[in-house]
Amino acid sequence: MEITRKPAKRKRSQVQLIWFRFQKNKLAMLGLIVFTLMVLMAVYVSIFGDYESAITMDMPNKLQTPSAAHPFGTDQFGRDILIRMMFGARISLSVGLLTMVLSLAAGSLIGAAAGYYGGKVDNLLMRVMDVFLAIPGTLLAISIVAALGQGMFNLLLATAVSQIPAFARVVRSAILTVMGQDYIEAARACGTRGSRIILRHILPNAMGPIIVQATLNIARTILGISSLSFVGLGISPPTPEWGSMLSEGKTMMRYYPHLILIPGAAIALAVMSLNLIGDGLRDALDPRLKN
Amino acid sequence: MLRYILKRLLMMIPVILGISFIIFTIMSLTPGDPARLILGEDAPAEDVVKLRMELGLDDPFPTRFARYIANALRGDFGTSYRTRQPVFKEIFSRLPTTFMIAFFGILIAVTIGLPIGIISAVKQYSLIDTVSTIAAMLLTAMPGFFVGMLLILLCALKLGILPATGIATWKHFIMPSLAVASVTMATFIRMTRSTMLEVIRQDYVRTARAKGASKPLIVFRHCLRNALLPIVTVIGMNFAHQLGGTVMIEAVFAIPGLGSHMVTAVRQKDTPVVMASIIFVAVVAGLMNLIVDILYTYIDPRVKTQYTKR
Repeated sequence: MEITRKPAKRKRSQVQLIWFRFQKNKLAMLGLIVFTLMVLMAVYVSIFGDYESAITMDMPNKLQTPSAAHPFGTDQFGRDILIRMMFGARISLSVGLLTMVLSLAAGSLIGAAAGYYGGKVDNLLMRVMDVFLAIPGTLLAISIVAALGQGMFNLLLATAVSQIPAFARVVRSAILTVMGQDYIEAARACGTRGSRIILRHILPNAMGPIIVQATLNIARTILGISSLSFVGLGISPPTPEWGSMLSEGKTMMRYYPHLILIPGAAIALAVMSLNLIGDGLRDALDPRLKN
Repeated sequence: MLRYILKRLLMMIPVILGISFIIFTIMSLTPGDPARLILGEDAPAEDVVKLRMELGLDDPFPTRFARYIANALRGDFGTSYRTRQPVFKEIFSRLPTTFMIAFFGILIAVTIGLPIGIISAVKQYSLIDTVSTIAAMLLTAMPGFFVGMLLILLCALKLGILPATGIATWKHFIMPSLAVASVTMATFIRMTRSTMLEVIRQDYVRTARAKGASKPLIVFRHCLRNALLPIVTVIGMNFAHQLGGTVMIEAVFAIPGLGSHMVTAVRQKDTPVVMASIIFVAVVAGLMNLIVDILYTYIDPRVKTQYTKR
């Protein structure tokens, strides 16, 4: 005898559901594809040329127009612009990611402490964050670079510190929203340990806005780093950073506009793809918000 | 109303003190001896010690900070290491240029961004909507200084209609202000569009329409009035960002403003100048936020009653 079983509707996990909603968003998918290509480019750039060729001068070949050997031409020091742009992706993306991790860690600690303990702790921490937010991010970063001196690490620290308040705010409000929910109360009533409540119930449910903020944060960092490098306070030449490439190309842009168009387009593409992913994630994580 | 403004002004004091404290702390991490920097490398050691005593560099941190604030209140932000001139004078002479660029930037962003945002929302999914959404997306992704370079390339080098660098005439301010405005304008377009779309779906708008109110009346009286609130908040926040952004714009257009002054000072390790410039800009940004908040009460009477009740 055969047992007739009602075909169970396949249960989708939360992640699958989010992915299902995300991939229906064409713009977000476009962003994801562009960003993936950028990451691949940053990882595998050494196939196309070594780092030495991106920083050593080759004066006989300076300011060449695009050709088969140099698809985007060469700059005023004879270096291939495409290779430099690709190594620039490596720098921007890795610094962007590291900055995000640093500011996320610090911001989460502060935001979580403020949200979880509430009261005086919350008040004090958030007032301090408000003061930090009152200082324009660029200026805060400049002041840190001014105090500690130039260099990759100091730049990373400077951009990370200036992004902490934004994270702290997002984490705090995410935790506050979750804390007020009935299921937290229910878990507590069941006698669940505090650490389990935080790890199993609060954090997973507060993750959404934090992930979105993290994505947008990388985009903002890429902009910030290129801005500081552009005025000569970030990563200095000959390192192929997009901002310093723009600053180097500035003097020549009248006759050789490709010197600034390529790195500028790289920044715009990276930032736009991350913004699109961030917006897409926001809609996918919380479908109620979408109109 | 006066009480509200006074209250807000009083609330500014701890914020300004906090800003100064943070910047002062960061800048005091600078390695090197200021007395040595002022006197030069070959100055005799006893002179350095004497100057250290005079400047009170050996005092504990709280004393130094309190003295800095006390002097700053009297308009004395110290002496530049490089020029040996009072810091305040130089900053004050450069502030108007920077402020003007940031202010015109906001003005441009509002006058262009707001109408486009409104049209986008009223004619959702139309051609104008699509084009402006894409334009806003592009502008948000491009750093202002890159937009500035593109403007120079187009308007100054190709068309030759605007001067590329300097601040001699009003024409010189057009491109820098546009460049500063670019990101903010994109934000305004997006904000206006989304808040207007939210408001348009409200019941009272449907009621107004049912009553037979004319379309412009509905859009401006019923929708815009309510949609303005979040937008005004964003205007205030963006002014602060723009003041930070002018640093890069001044570098593009070779403008002798506060930003370029600051960058030079950072390169030459001229700590007093850097510190004072940043504190100045942050305080101006804070004051702008305050002004916007006061404007807020005129747009939304609910905010005012909240404060007059107490």
